[in-house]
Amino acid sequence: MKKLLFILFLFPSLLFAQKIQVEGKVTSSSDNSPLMGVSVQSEANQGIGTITDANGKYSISVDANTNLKFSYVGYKTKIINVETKRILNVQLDENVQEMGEIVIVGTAMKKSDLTGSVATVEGEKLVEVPTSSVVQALQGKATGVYVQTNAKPGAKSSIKIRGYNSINYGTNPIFVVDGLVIDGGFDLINPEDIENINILKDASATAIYGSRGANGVVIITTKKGKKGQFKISYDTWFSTKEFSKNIPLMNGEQIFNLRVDAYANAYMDKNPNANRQSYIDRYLANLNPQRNIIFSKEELQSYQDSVSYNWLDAIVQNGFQQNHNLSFSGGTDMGTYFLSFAYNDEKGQIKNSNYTRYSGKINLDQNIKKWLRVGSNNTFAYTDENPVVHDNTFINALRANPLLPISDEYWYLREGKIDNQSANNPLKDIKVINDYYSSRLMSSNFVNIVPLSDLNFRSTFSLDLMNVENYTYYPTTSTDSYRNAYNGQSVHVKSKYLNWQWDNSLTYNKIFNEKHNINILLGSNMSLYTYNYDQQNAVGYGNDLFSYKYPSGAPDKERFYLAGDFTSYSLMSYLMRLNYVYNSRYYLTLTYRTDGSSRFGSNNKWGSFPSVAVAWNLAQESFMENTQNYIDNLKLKIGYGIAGNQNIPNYAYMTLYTPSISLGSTILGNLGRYGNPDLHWEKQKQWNIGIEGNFLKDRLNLGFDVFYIQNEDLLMLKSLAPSSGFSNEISNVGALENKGFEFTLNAIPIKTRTINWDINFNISADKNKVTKLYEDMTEIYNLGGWTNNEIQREGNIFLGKSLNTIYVYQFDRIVQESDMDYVHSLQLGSRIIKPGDLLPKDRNGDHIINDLDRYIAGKSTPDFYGFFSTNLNYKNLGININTNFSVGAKRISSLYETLMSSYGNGGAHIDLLNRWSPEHTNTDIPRAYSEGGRFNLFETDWALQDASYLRLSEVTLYYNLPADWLRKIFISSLRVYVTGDNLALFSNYKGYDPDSGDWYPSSRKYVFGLNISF
Amino acid sequence: MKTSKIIFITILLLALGFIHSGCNEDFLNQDPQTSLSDNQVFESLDNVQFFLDGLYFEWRFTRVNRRGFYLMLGTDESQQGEYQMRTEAEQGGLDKYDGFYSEENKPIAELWSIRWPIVVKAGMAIDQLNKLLENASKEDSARINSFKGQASFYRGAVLLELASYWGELPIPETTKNSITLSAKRSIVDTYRMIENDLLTASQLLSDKLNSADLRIPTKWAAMALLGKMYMSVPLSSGLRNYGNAKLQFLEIYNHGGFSLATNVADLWDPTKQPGNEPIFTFYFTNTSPDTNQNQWYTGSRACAGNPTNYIGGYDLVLPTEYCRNDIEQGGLWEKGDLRKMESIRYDFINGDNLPSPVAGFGEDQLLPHIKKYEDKRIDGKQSFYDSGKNIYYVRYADVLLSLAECMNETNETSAAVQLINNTIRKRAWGGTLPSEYAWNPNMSQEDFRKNIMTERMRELCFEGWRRFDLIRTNNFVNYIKERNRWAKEASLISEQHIYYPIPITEIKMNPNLSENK
Repeated sequence: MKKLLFILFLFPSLLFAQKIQVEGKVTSSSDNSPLMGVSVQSEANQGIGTITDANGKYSISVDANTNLKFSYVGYKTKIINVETKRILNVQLDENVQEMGEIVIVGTAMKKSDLTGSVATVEGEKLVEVPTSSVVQALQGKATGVYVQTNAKPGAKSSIKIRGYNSINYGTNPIFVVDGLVIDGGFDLINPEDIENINILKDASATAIYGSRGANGVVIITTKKGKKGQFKISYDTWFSTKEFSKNIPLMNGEQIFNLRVDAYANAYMDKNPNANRQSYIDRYLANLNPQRNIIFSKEELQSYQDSVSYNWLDAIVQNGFQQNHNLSFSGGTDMGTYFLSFAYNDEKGQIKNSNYTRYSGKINLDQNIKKWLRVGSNNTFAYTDENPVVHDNTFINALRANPLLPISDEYWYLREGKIDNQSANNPLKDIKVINDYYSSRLMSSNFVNIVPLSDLNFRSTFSLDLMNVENYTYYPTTSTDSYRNAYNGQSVHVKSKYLNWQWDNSLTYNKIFNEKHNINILLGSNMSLYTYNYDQQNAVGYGNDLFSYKYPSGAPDKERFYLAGDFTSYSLMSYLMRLNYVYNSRYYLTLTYRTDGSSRFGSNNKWGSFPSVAVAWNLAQESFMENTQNYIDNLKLKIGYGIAGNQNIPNYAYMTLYTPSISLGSTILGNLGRYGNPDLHWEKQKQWNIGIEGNFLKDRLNLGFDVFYIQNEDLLMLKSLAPSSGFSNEISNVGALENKGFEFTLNAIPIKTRTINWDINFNISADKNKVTKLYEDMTEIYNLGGWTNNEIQREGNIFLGKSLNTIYVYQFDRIVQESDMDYVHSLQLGSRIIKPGDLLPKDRNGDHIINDLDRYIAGKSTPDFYGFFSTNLNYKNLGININTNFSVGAKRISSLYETLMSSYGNGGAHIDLLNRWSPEHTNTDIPRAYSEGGRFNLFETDWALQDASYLRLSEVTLYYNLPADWLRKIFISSLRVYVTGDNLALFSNYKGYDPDSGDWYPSSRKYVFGLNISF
Repeated sequence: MKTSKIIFITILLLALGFIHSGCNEDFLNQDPQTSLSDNQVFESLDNVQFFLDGLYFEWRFTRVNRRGFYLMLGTDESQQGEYQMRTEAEQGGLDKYDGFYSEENKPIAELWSIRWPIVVKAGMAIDQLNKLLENASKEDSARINSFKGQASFYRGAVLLELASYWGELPIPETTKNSITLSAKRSIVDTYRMIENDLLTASQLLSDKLNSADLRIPTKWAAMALLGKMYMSVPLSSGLRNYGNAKLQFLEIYNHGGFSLATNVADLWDPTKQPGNEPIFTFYFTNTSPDTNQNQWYTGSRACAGNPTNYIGGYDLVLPTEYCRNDIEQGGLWEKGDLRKMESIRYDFINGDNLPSPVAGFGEDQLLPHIKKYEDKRIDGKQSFYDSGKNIYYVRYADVLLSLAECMNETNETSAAVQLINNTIRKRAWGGTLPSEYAWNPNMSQEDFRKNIMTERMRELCFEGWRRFDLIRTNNFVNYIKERNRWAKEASLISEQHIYYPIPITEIKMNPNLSENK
């Protein structure tokens, strides 16, 4: 009321005072860049004000001699008397403590002080791809960051920074959300809440995280309110989803022929003198189901009717996704706020699967006193998911026998007259109830005190709490219940993750003689991570009345199963850092920290991690004066540092005995791990050399970094000789070298009032090599299989080779009749090789085909990868295109291999139509065979797939409605867009997707979206 | 104002420093909350029995699931099913003795790997217990000695298995916190260690018939194994001693208090008590983790359509033709021997469940199957995967058979015949041995040797001792070649196959084994 009166009172004077129109541009004093959104206000009359536009320009009508106040977050407020000037250009000075401030553990620091290698992705860039997953949104956005998506709903994408720097443990980076370190559950972060992401890549940049930074650090800063800018935004998008690829499969008739062929071949091997055709006519292709030994009655009927059944179609549907995000933000001199609420809903592509997420965010920042500032950043997220309970449901349906009529009556998929007991009927699987709820609260709260000018103390307490509840119910009619004779089974699993983190830092910042800028930081951290879960399985319900909701109704108490566990680990660290900048030309960063982890034994808990980095800004040198017209900035930087890794399972330094119950009493057992009291920190010694330049008034930006990382004392799961009585220990063994480069180019070839065209291109490469293993080992095999003793194709480690090798036989030939003499000269163990079968190459020429003939046929990591994106707009209309590529990786396609190993029992790939037969010998695909004992295609490099690809990942067409129209309806901006996601893929890969793999196809999405702000 | 601010800050900083340095070490000690370290286990005597029962569990584990039957493959009493043979080449090697019967054979590697943890952990426990004994009170000493007896028993028993099937062993040196891998030790050294352990066990373990905790071995179990050791140690070592063996068995015979179950059927009916016949038993139930899944591997696929049909399974291991047939057909069984129908299933109808063979899964689905693992408690209720009948490791019948064998070897053949007639064979015919089936007390020592091997199969078939018996009596090659279908077909078996090869994983990872040097 008072205010209203005041305005009324003021009104006449406004009318009659002498008005002048003041115009001008507000720029930053450090680099002359225009500042957008600067608040320009009359000091006397706060009702009069405006903000600067994208070019830093403003225009305001005020009385002469008014004091204008220019305030902007991150800059020192300036008050200037306009006198009678019509043009008033203003330069604002950075407020060092706020500018480009990224909040890292316990402290806030200026981004430009990071002399190391950092990639930045702005929030607006991030939401170019409409996705609810932050990791997925990062794909193709920053150099040196390799995101491998996983198309399966609910599955996590993996992210690697600068390739592989550890053998078994912790090759993923950590995420830091507003100062809170998290190392999992990234998908609960709403990409729309993100202001920007900084990816720290080298030791100097990550030094501040020492203990956790060995594999890079992804710093997420969420949106904050801005002073003087009240804003309401509503963002929404809708998308449909369809599978981006179909695998070409044989139809029913082709399957029929394949199976007949396979059984006839096996029969003829055993009975070489029999009459093949009459055996086929009598037993294999006989349409009388009583006589036919390989086809069931139903299959013969399908064959006669020429029908093929598509089981996959019976369980999939088109997906649909919608996303709504509403946010409010604003601020005054006293503080800022940002609130957001988001809703994301997804109907999965397998029937009965859904995903819903609700999330909210509150970020507050308040200046209580001149010397005291407090703030709190909070995110709450709740998800409700209904994933399909078994991983293989999709694949089972895909490779179901097309002669088998679709029905939910079978327990298992039937192949001929047999139930395939490893393939549940997918129609039954999708009826298993699976409800997965997770709720997460992330809260980071700080107190910032400035006791003396130049001195800053900050204490942050953060909490990360996640509760997960997973309820599954296997109805009495489900295959799982049938197989185990459970008569209805419920499974409840509840878990809780709680992590708190306390960070303190003291910063001293001073500029001496205008040229020497010194920044000293002392910091400390304590973090505690706890986890616990409990599980109850109840069986014997006998009916499906209340699903999992009423375990008291399950009578078979004898067969109940209970489990639970509690674990914790802790970290501590002390940190010292010195930043020195001379005259904006020479930069030096020194860091020293020590870190303690509870995961190591008492003598080895602590590790020390120093780093040093220097940079030189040539553009500021006097000898470069002539070039300053076209070189804005040219910075050379070099850094060396050590980062640490402790990402091993808890308690590995002790030999543990865990209780369980057997025969009604407690027993203590060890799970095979031998405790290693000498375990200590893994160390990454990292070199980084880089150059970055901005040219032609920022129209062209180039960056080039090379890195060399020597990983030592690698933490590894080491297999032990069986006679040691333990199967493995975790040990610091071996060394790994990793080197590579990153190149980035951003250019704005056209920039006019109406047309704007920019291009981004980047390419990264990394290559690793194992340089040392323990003792005199030259190779460590990854054993697996059902006896846990078979050498696997991946995961073996060879001295002098990449960590990511694929180790197989070499495909020699499909054996012809004329090769049989050679075949007989070989020792094949008990393998059968007849004409039409595959023969691996006897690489060492010893006439024995065994493990010694296997070789490294490729590696699963790319030689290089990158992306290209471009944005073109004309006035309000624009198009944005993103592509990404990866070259040189090999990949095993289990799906293709499965479909190529078919003998007509289940689904088969059409490539098998080209199989060997006595009439068709010119082929590299073996004959059909219904029994075991042969070499399989997938044991050789034949099956290895080229996983290089080029993907047209997104094309977005957008339109910003004209501001003039919008103003009339009180809208400040409105953008509409359509996006096609994953529109095209160029690759030779035979499975689903060379990037996301096989067990679930990737999707193509069409999105319609809208961003409004008021 | 300014002063108070600074004071405030200073206090904060001090508090911070205090907290950080004060709880520094404590904060970084996050001990496991649901397990004990090796040292913690032995800090209280109350924990030790849990640990030892854990060893029992681990040893029992060698009898669980598929791995429980590898030792029975490739013998003259049992062989694997056709479908298994066709699809599992390495496992097939165990019957064929072909190229897959090699150091790279995975089932053999598994048999090897699952036994060493028991040897090593028992060794670590013995060292811990010896240290505890040094300062123990009298009362504690008794407990510690009982624990030491158990640990010695487990180590001795498992080493005996390993030595019987592999010969010379790379037994590591163990102390309470360290393991030092070893090169192969000679047969003499290997068996001396076993002898020591079993002697220690027989001195320290209880002489009662059973312990309160049924798992805990008794003195009698240790003596039975000691006897078996003396009669099986390779002749070449000069340690074989039937006299010593006989002493062990006689002691059990005279003072153990054991007796044969009256009815053979009671031994194999999980709802009945076997009386005082078992000497050491692996106990199971129908509830995880105490099931053994044995029926899953011994039952017939033709009966597996209904998972709760208790005679169903997947044909991993079946009786050989010799073992399933009567004497008239060149087989094993005499008329009226009750053990035949208790050991082998010949008919496959179970109430409403009619057998239906699955095409493509072998022609042997309805040939006679092993019956000793059938667990009718699960019939119609639980999957045969939950089968969990107890497995006898050593029972009194074996002691009698072994005693008779030792008597024969020490020139008491007719007494040995009498013993067999009056105990084992008498029971086999339901308590009255028809005279035509009584053995002739005047048979030669050599005939007795032959007959006792046959009688051992009738009594103990599928209980896991056949391979041991074939090796120690030097009948391995001739009997298997003649009676095992796959070995006969392949005709590759020879003396070199008597011992399993030491697996490649051991050779590669143990620097003391010769290939590395």
